[in-house]
Formats: sequence, structure tokens, C-alpha cells
Amino acid sequence: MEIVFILEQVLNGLLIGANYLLIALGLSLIFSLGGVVNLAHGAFYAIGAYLTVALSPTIGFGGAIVVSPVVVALLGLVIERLLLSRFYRGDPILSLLLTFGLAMVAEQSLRMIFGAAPVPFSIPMWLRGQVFIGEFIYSKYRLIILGVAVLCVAGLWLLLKRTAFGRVVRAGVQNPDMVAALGISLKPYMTAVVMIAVGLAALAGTMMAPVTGVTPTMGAEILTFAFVVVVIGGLGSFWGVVLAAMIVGVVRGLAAYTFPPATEAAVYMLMVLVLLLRPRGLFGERIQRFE
Amino acid sequence: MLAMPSISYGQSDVVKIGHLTPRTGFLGPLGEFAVNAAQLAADEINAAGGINGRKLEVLFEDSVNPQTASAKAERLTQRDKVACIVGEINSASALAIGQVVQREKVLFINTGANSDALRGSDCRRYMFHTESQNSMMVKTAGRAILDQGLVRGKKYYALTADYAFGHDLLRVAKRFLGENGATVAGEDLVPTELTDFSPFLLKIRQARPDVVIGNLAGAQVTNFLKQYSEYGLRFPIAGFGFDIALAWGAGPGNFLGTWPVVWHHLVDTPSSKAFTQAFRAKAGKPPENQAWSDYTAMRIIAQSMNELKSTDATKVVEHLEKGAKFDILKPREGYFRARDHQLMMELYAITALPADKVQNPFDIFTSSAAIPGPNESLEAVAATAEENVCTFPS
Amino acid sequence: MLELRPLLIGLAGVVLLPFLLDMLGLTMTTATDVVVFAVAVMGLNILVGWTGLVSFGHGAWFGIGAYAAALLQRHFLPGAMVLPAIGALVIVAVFSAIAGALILRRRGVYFSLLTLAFTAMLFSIAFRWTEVTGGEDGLGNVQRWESLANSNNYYMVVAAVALVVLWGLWRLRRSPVGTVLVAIRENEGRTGFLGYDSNRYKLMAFTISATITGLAGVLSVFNHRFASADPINIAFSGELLAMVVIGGMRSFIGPALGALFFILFREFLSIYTPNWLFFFGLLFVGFIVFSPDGLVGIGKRVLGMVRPKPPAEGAAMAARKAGASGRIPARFIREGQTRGAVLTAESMRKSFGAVKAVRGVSFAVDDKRLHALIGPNGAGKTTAFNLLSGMFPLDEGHVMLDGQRVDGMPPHAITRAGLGRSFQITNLFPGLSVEENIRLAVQARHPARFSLFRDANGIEDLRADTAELLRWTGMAGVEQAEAGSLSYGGQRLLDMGLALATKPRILLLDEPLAGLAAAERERVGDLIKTLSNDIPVLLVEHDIDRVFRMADRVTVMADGEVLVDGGVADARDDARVQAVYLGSGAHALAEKPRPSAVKDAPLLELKHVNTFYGKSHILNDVSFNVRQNEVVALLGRNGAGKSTLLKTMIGTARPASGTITLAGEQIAGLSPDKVARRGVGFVPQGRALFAGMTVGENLGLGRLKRLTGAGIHWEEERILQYFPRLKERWNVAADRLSGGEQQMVAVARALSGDTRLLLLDEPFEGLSPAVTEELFETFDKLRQEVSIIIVDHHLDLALAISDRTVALERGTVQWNGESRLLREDDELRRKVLWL
Repeated sequence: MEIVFILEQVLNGLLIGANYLLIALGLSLIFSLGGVVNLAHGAFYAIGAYLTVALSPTIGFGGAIVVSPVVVALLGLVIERLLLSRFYRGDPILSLLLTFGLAMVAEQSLRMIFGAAPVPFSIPMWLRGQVFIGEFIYSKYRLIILGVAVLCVAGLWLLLKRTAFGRVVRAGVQNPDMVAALGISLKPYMTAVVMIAVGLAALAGTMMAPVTGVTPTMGAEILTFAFVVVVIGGLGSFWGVVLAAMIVGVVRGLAAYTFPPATEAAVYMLMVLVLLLRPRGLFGERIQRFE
Repeated sequence: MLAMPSISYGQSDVVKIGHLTPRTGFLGPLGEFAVNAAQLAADEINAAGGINGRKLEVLFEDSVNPQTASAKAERLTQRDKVACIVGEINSASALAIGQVVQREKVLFINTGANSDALRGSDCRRYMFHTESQNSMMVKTAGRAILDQGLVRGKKYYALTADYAFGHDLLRVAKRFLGENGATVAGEDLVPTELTDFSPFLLKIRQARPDVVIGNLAGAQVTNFLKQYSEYGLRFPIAGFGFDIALAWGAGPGNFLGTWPVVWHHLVDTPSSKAFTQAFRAKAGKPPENQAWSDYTAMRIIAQSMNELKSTDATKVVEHLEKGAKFDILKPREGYFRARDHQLMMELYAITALPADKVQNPFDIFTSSAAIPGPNESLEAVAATAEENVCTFPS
Repeated sequence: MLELRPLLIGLAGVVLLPFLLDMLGLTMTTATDVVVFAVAVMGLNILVGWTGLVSFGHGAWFGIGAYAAALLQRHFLPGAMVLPAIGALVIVAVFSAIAGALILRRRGVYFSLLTLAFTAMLFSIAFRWTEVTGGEDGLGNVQRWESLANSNNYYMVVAAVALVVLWGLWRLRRSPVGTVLVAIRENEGRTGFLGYDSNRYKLMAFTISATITGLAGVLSVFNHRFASADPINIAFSGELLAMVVIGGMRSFIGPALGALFFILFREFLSIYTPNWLFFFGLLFVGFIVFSPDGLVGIGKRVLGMVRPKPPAEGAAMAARKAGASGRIPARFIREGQTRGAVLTAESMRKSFGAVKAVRGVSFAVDDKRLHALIGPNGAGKTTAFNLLSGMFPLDEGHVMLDGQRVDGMPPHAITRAGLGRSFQITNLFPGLSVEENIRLAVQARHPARFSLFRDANGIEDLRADTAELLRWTGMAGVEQAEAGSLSYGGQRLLDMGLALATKPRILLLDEPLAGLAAAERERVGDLIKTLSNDIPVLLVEHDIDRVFRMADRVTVMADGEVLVDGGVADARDDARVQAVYLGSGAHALAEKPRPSAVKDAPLLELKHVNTFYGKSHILNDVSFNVRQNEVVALLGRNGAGKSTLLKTMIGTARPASGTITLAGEQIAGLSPDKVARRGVGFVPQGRALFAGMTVGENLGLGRLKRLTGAGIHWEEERILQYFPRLKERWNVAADRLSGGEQQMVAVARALSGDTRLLLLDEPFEGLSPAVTEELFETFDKLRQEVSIIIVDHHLDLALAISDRTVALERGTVQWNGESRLLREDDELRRKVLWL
């Protein structure tokens, strides 16, 4: 029973990890290509959640899950063109500070528009329920989240690996000058990457809105953990981030089971450990130009 | 000196009250209710002739954090010469303000901070509390679930927010439940940053308790309730720390169980109904228990000062300590207990309506009768002297 | 007196502040808060502004300092203030030293992320550990002395402490350690090669910075008489950072201004709107975008509009007093520990991935000798330097320096052991003055290098050494010029000066003469020769005539191996050396006549092209033409401007003036992708294939945006006609191919799409003879299709394949004519290419 139960917690941990994954991957992607550590990434997650709440009454949750990431991606387009793009080749510290300020503005904007109180929002009826697999219980909705996350990761990987778009992006990460010398301007690709990344964050926000409190601070809360995931996985390492998200989820699940007060602290301890043993993250990083 | 609106009035023809409460940060939502209610109270007081014929002016400030709260409390007392400070939700900020008012000899009515320390080891002569005590909250909800048959001979699983507030609740709760014959099926301390309760939900499911007790705080309650429904767990829920805004935030259908509140907008007394109606007209939504607290505090001050024909803080303190009674929008009048300056009053246990019976997003619960009952002492659910000792420092 | 200005401003500030705030209706406690925050952010700025490390978690030290003082007073020292304060500072110092050692394992943005996570973790501990920290209730009842109960009195104490801190920081900023921190910000790598252990300095900065911010926390806890977890919250750390940025991180006192600004902003805006943080955020973003130097930056700009600018440093080099230097003064000569060779390299090996850059190199440098290390581009000379100086770890072999084994040591240890080096690509502290550059280098071996309080400019022997060295290198007169503003030649000279200033047992100079004007080359050359009578010099230099004139011994490298190691005569007369430099003339490929395909129609015309890097004038009035189907060889020594010329043609470097016309269209100043789409294919040195992608994918990227009709259409079949080998490799990852195949992919990729001009940068580098021949034949065929510009150090090959040669020397075209002439006339070739 005990072992079975631990297994259940491990599997549940993978579900938790999926939440971080969509955000961490976006962070990693923007960083790899643009050299910008986007501290405003959590804000896009929160905006996605709020948009879902605001749009659901008119277009339904099913509509919002599509529209909200798209709208956020368009917002990403504007911010990328107007602000972020000025900082790609500059001092990464400045872009860090810029996105920090943007996060502050975004959080306060949400507070001004929607109020500081948690906004009520529930899982739509058609997605409620539980799934029992043997002894294990799963929330149907969570499984759907996991499914969507897996699809997104697979989709992103295929996009990067199998399409011309992805090849340009990967080439751009390796050697932007050479890409330019082949007649390819990286600008639109960078814009697209930011749009995809913030769109993914918004998708995560959309999917989490029904199961977590929708408050202006939700972005800042998740961002810290997304960064821990990224530090553990190694910025710019696709599978490193995927693995790290899963490990972080499982560690949290197991800590909650064995010593609950340390649920969050365990994740930080993991980070310190990785830092001591593998300072460049689990799989290491190929990108060193930002140190 | 355009920047200082407070200087624009002469000193003699207004009575100033400083309203200091967090407007930003995670307590911001409650602060919004507090500010609206205090403004409403001030308008009503002025419409009724003000304080001793002088106009009441409220200076609203965002207390931000304890350090800022302390500095602003000093500014309000030293520069603006306020007669009283009202507000606060954050316990550390309340403690900081308590220190300032004690030095400056100005009245402070705490309307939102629960902490036992404020009524115990850190109590102050010039600080009073309209916000209920942890003990009152626990015993109110405790009595309700005792009546529902969820305590005697039953097993409970307690989830407790891992910080002072949760620890305080847990301490009182364990004693209450133990004394009434309940046993422990499981206990977990939950980190405050935790937003995903699924590991704990799995543990609860495995432990199969008769009742789940939530000593949680703020948005955690919302998250927990949402996820509890998501996992379809059916064990009854009760909780001890609560604000109605959290029920509203969880949304109909997600709000479950039995919880204590100091007041709610369905309380059926004339003054309560009038307040609810006026607040709705002003804010577009019903008042929450935080709104009640600030509204009541403002009225208590105005009434005391009018009765005393003085704004002198020390006189007001003595007046309140003597047990002056006030209409606090509940069936029975309330008074401050001299021993710890806690407002003695009735509370309510509210129980979630099933989703199919919910008519609108606000009226999503039914209420118990006032607790303590009509024939009991109002102190019946308050902390005893042994539970929490206050010795006012001179 | 000017240096004292920050102190005077600080003094005036703390005196005037209470009156200002009183006027605004604020209290003494708020004035105290302003001073407390000012102390906190000035502490933070040691990291952010001086050292260039952005901490997102400095609030933690503020909070820990506050807690520590409150707890010490509550539990052990009731009523005391001084002892709890001191205890708290010790605790912060110890704790921050431990945390710093961990966090400083990473740099740049990673450092920032770690500080962020670190604070988040601490906050969750502090907020929950109720027994110790009071948790959400905080710790109240902190006592002040009776005499300080009055907030005016307490303000005076805080103001006094703040002034002491300000004075201490002012001393620190001017101390040896402070100057090294700025050097780390400017160029951390170079500090190591001066002998500074930068990690140690960064840890000192971290600890001092944290302790000062912790001191602010202590002052704050007595100001408000309680401690809580709030300062540890990330939001507060962010606010501290915002104060630094808004005030001005590059200014000594700017952050304090930011603290005042922040508190006023918060106090007044929060009266009117609960959304004050929104406006604060907007303001912060505005500063980042428009004035990263904060309020001080704005002030300077405004002043700059009013005040006339100081005269430009243009004439600076002319102001130099470059007299006869004489021998190097004895105080720059390090006593040897052993007799025999000063530096011995034994079987050094180093690979980068599949590239074997150095393959078993051994040589020894004797005392008081000028030892030249020569060889063509890509021979591994610079890599050898990097191995000797500890920049890269050796794969195999070992290095003895003055009887001590130094391989495996970090650069600063090797430098301290007596190896001074200069760099091929100038490696200075560009934002600092010439004098400060040299002074930093001299200071690295001074006993006071860890001093926190001595005025670095007031240390007599340091000053004397610096002045002497400036005189000796001939840079007296430009001491105050910013290093980055010097001409290229001036920077090279300064780089050498830095190496010399470390008082090395041996000096490694990597092309010190490149970029110098002719008279200057003569002078510096003599200087090096004189120098080598006292300090042995290992010299990499391309000017072979000069090397043969100067050197006592020569090691010739080619393809990562030592070709010849011996006297000048040995090297000069060695056939292999001649083959390397002049081409053997016997190369089979060079013998076959290559029919030209030139059509008499111009494709590319350069007219009077000038290109600068910063203030260095790299290309000087370059003009030449390339006709259709013509092959042009672009030749010249290292540093002659070949790479810059290629970069200018493809748009990576923007020409300051002149025209570049491609098929009648002006392309000068277009971005690289636009140039490429107009039919220019570029094969960079080192190929730059995209790893992890197949040959097909690499070629696909070449074609993706270049189906423009500009030139010949290169579809797959046509490419495979020229590179049949790639067919079977089509689905293999490019990085798994052999070097020759990789080169073919790089060329094929450059052709893919529509291409009419092919630029080849060192296409034969590192290839076996067989592959070289295959490629050579391919290029020969390609001339039927496109025009080609080839840069290669294999002179025979370049001359054999090209129709015409353009020879560059110091950024100007010094010869432009038929390659046939150079092939046939050895004398001419010697004149043009062997200077």
C-alpha cells in the first residue's frame, strides 16, 4: 500500500511538473535566442488566466482556451517590437531589469482592472470529474492539462526540430551572424518566438485558472518556481528543462508526503544541490555568451 | 505644499481619523472592502452631524508593509494629529502601529489582524480589536460542526498553514476538538506559498477522515476549495480561519463546508440591512466581513467621542474599558473586554449551499444562529485568560 | 577637492533632509527611513554599479540584519543597542560569505536568478519560523536607549552612521579592492591575467555589500522598533534595485538619491491612489529604456547641454612624449628562481571538439632571449599562448615556469608565478583611463592589493611604478584618455604595458606590432628587443623580416605542430618554413595553368571604403573591382584588414564612407541578410555549420530566403553536381562529417539559393592535401558559374586559383594586379607579400 501510494504521489508530481513546464520552456526559448531572461513571463501567465475568466462567459471555456493565448501572443508581439527588441544584443542585466519593471506594471494593471480579490472561476461542467485507474485517483481536468502540456511540448519540439522555422531558430541560437549571412533576418523569428513563448505561458494560465486562485500575484508566484526549474535544467536546454520540471514536480509531491512543511524548501534544496554538483544544470548548457 | 491635502483644513473644525490598511499585496482585496466601508461610515457620521459638531475627515493611506505602516502611523499622529487610527489586516503591521500609538497615546482600532499575540504578549493599552480572535473563530465553527455530529467520536484531518496564524488556529482547534472527543486521522503543515494541494488531497483520500479541517489562510483557502471539488473528495469540510471574500473567490460550486465569520451580509438586523444596502449602492457588491469591521470601528469611535464630548484618546480608552455598549449590526450589542481589548460579540458559522441551490454569486451560504446563543455570555467563545494572557505594558 | 564632493553632498544631504521632509509634512522617522534606505542601496550598488553583478535578493540581508539585532537584544542583551548591532553585522557577514561562495559559482544573469531564488527561500523560512522570527506577527518591543527615544536624536545617530558608511564606501571605492571591482565589471577575464583572483574579490564585494545592507536593516529595526519578514520578500529587493537604477548605478552617490526619490514617490502617490506601484513600475521601465543611468544620468545630460564639451581626445596620441626609453627599470624585473629555461612547454595538446588545435607542442624559452613563435594563420600559436597562460586547461602535457609546474593553475596563479601576456584581440578595461589600466596591473602584485581603505592613488610606489611604466612604454601624455578611445595601435601598446606591469619572469606578446604606424612599429620593436635583454620575451609576430632581424630563437608552428625550433638561420633556411610562408612553388596544384573565365563586366565595385571599429580606423580608402566570373585573392598579413573587408562586404561591419556596388546596386550599409539576398554567399573561417542539423537541413537554410533571382539558381541537383560526395551524406548531421566534407557543406550552403558572388574565408584551413585538392578543383569549376573572392594563407593555392590579387596592408590596398605576375615573379612576390 505504502509503495503504491508513493507511486501515486510520484505520478501526481509529474502532473504538477507539467504546470511549470509550459512556462519554463518559454523562458528558456526566449533566453536562448534573444539572451533576455524574461522576468515578466509570469505576468503573461496571469494575463492569460484573467482573460480566460473575462472571456469565458461570452465564448465559453473552450473558446477562451484558444483565444486567450492568441490575444496574449499579440500582446507579446507589441511588447517585443516596442521594448524587448531593443535589448537583445545589449547588456543582459538591462533586459532583466526591464522585464522586472514590466512584470510590476502588468501585475498592477491586473489589480486596477480586475481588483485585487481572487476572481471566482471554476472548472466547466463538461471537464469535471475524476478518473480512477486501479487504486489511483486522478482529476479528469488535471489529466487534460497534462495531455495539453504533453501536446505542447511535443508540438514545440516538432516545430523546432522538423520545420524550417525551427531550423532557423535553432541556427539562430547557435550563430546569429551566420544565419544573417544566409539572407535570413532573425527579427521576425525572434518576434514569433516571443509570441509562442508568452502564448504558452498564457495557455498555462488559462488551464490553471479553474484550479488555482486567480489573483494579480499568481504570475509572480509561479515565476520563481519556473526559474528554479530552468536553473536546474539549464537555460537553453530543451530536454533539461523538461526533465527538471518533472523532477521538481516529483520532489514536491514526495516532500508533501514525507515532510509537508518542507514541500517548497525541498525544491530549493534540490536547486542548491544541482548547483554544487552540476553548476550548468542537469544536461549542461550550450549557451555561454550570457555569462 | 500642494501635496498635503490634510493641511487644507483648519485644525479646529475637523476631527481627523487615519485609516491605514494594506491596499497592495495579497491583503489588498480585503483592504478594498475596508476602505469603502470606512468611507461609507464617515459619510453617514458627517450626515448625522459629525463628531461633537465637528466634521469627520478620514485620511486614507496604504500601509504597504510593517515598516511603512509604522512610519505612516507616526506621520498620522505627529503631523496630522489624528484622533484615532483605524484599520490594518497584516498582523505585523498592526503590531507596529500598536507600538506607535502606545508611544503617541493615540487610539488604534485593529479591524483585520487576527493574531493572538496582538491580544496577548503584544497587547497595548491604546489598541482595541473589532476583528475577532482566533479562539472565537475556532469555537464558533467548532460548535457548528459539533451540532452537525462531525466531532464526537470522529476522526479529523487537519491542514494548517505553516505560519503564525495557522499555528494559532491549530492550537485552539486541537484543544477544542480533543475536549469534544475527536481524534486525529492526519495533520499536515502546509507551506504558505503552496498553490497546488493535490499531494495533500491524495493523502486525505488515503487517510479517510470523517471531517477535514482547514486552518488555512487567504488565497490558500480558495485554492484548496477549488482543488478539493476538483478531486471529488466527499469528506465534510470545516475551517477555522476565513473571510467571505474567499468563498466568493472560490466561486459557486467550489465553496464547500462550514466556516466561521464575524459577520455576513445576510445577518437580519435593521442596522445590518441598512449597512448592506448602503454598501451595495456604493460599491456594487455586498459588504464582506472586513467591511463590517471597519464600518463598525468607525461608528464605535464616533459614538464614543460624541458620548464623551471629547476626542481625547485616553478618555476614550477608559470609556471603552468600562464596557460601553455599541450596536454592531448584530442582535446583541457588543462591548470591549477590559482584559484584552477584544470586542465581545456574536459570530456566525456559515455553511456552503449546494451548487444547485445557489441563486447569485454572493448568497452562496446559509448561516447558523448567532453564536454564543441568546442566553450565554458573549465571552463564551472568547479566549480564556489562561489561553491568552495580556498584561498591558505601561 | 573634487574627489571629496560625494562626501560633501552626503553631509549636506543628511543635514538638509529633515528640513525638506518637514516642509513636505513628513516626520523624522521617515527622514530616518530615507537615510536607512540610502545606506542599503549604496551597499547594494557595490555589487550592481561597481562590480556589475545584479542582486535581486539584497532585501534578505536587510531583513537578516534586522532580525539578528532584534533577536540578540531580546534574548541576550536586553536594552543594549551597540552590541546587538555589532553581533548582527557579524552574523550577516558570515552568512553572506557562505551564501556568496555558493551563489558566485555562477555569473551574469545566472547570478541574478540565484539571488532571486535564494531570497524566495529565505522568505518562506522567515515567514514560517514563528518561534524565532515571530512569523507573520514579526518581533516587536525592540528597545532604543532612553537618550535615543526621541526620533530627532535617533536621526542624528543614523545620519552619523550613514556618513561614516559613506566615508567608508568612498575610501573603499578608491582603495585597491574598489578599483579591482570596477575592473571586474569592465573586463573580468583580464583581471585574472593581471594576477587578480577575481572570485575572491567578488566574494569580498558580496560580503561587504550584504553587510552594509544588513547595517541598514539594523538601523531600520531600531527606527521602527520591530523586525518582520517583509524586507526578505522579493518585492523589497526589487524596490532596492529600482532605487539604485532610478538614482543612477554608475554614480557613487546616485543610489542615495534614488532612495529619497522612492520614499517621496511612495508617500505622496499612495495618498492619492492605491495604484501607486503601477505608476512606479511605469517610471522604472521608462528609466531603463530612456535613461539607464538614472536621475544622475539625466542630470548629466542636462548639464551636458549647457556646458561645452571638453575637447575630443583625438589629438591625444599626438600629445605623447615618446622619447628614448632606455632599458626597462630594474624594478620591473623579477628575480629568477632557477637557472636554465624560464618557460618550458612539453608535449602540449589541446582539442576543441574534433579540431586538434595543438598537437604535441614542445619548446623552451631561455632567460634574456627574444624567442619568436611564428607560423601561418591557424597554426595554433594563440592557442599555445592560451594554454601556457591558463586560459584553457591542457588536454595533455605540462608547462614549467621558472622551475615551477604551472599547468592546471588558473590564470591569476600563473600570472602571479611570473607569466605576463598580451592579447591578439585587444583586452583592456575600455572604460578606464590609460593610467588606471596600468595602475591596476601594477597593483596586482602590490602587498596592498587587498586593502580596503588605503587610497589606491596615494600609494607612493604604485604611483611611481605606474608613471615609470607609462613613460617607458611611451604613453606619457595620454594617461587620462579612456583606454577604449585610443587608436588601435595605442590599445595594442597599452595591452603590452599591462602585461609588463605584472613584473613578469617572462613576457608573452601576441602580435604587439599589429596596427601600429610605421615609425611606431620601429620604436616598439626596438623596445621589445631592448626589453628582452632583461626579461625573456615569447613573441608572436607576422612580420617575418622583423622577426628574423630581432629574434634570438625561433619556433615555427604549422597545423598545431612545431615545424622548426632553432636559431634564426635554421628557420630562415628551412624549406618547409619557406613553403608555409611563400608557397613552395612546387605544389602540384599550382603548376597546372588555370584558364580564366572572366567576362569583362563588373559585378562588384568598392570605392573609397572606410571602416572603423570604435575609433580604430581599420579600412582606409579601399577600392577595387571584381568582374563577373573572376576569382580574386585577397591577401595580406594578420591584422591587415582582410576579415574586416569581408565583413564590410557582407554587411556585418558598416562602412563609414565609400560605396559598394553589386551588379549596379548600392549595398554599402545594408544589413547582412539583405546583402545575402542580393546574391552574396559567404563561407566563414571555421565554417560555422549548424550542429545537430543534417547536411540537407543546413543547405535548406541557405536556400530558405535566397530564392531571389539574384544570380545563378542553385538547386539541389546543381549543387550535387559540384559536390557529389554530399549526396550520400545528405541525412547525416553536419557536425559528424569530416573536416573536408564540412567545408564542402559550408560552400554548398553558401551557394544554395540564388548566388552570384562567393566569399571564401580560409577555405583550405586544416584540410588534408587530398581534400584540399578536391576542393581546389571544385572552386576552379565554380568560376564558370560565379565570381569568387578568396582569403587564404596558402599563398600557392590562392595565387594559383585566382585571376587577380588584391594585397592589403594596414587597411589600404597596397597592390592590385594579375595573380600571374606574383606567381611568376618571385621578387615581386617577396616585395608584395613578404614585407
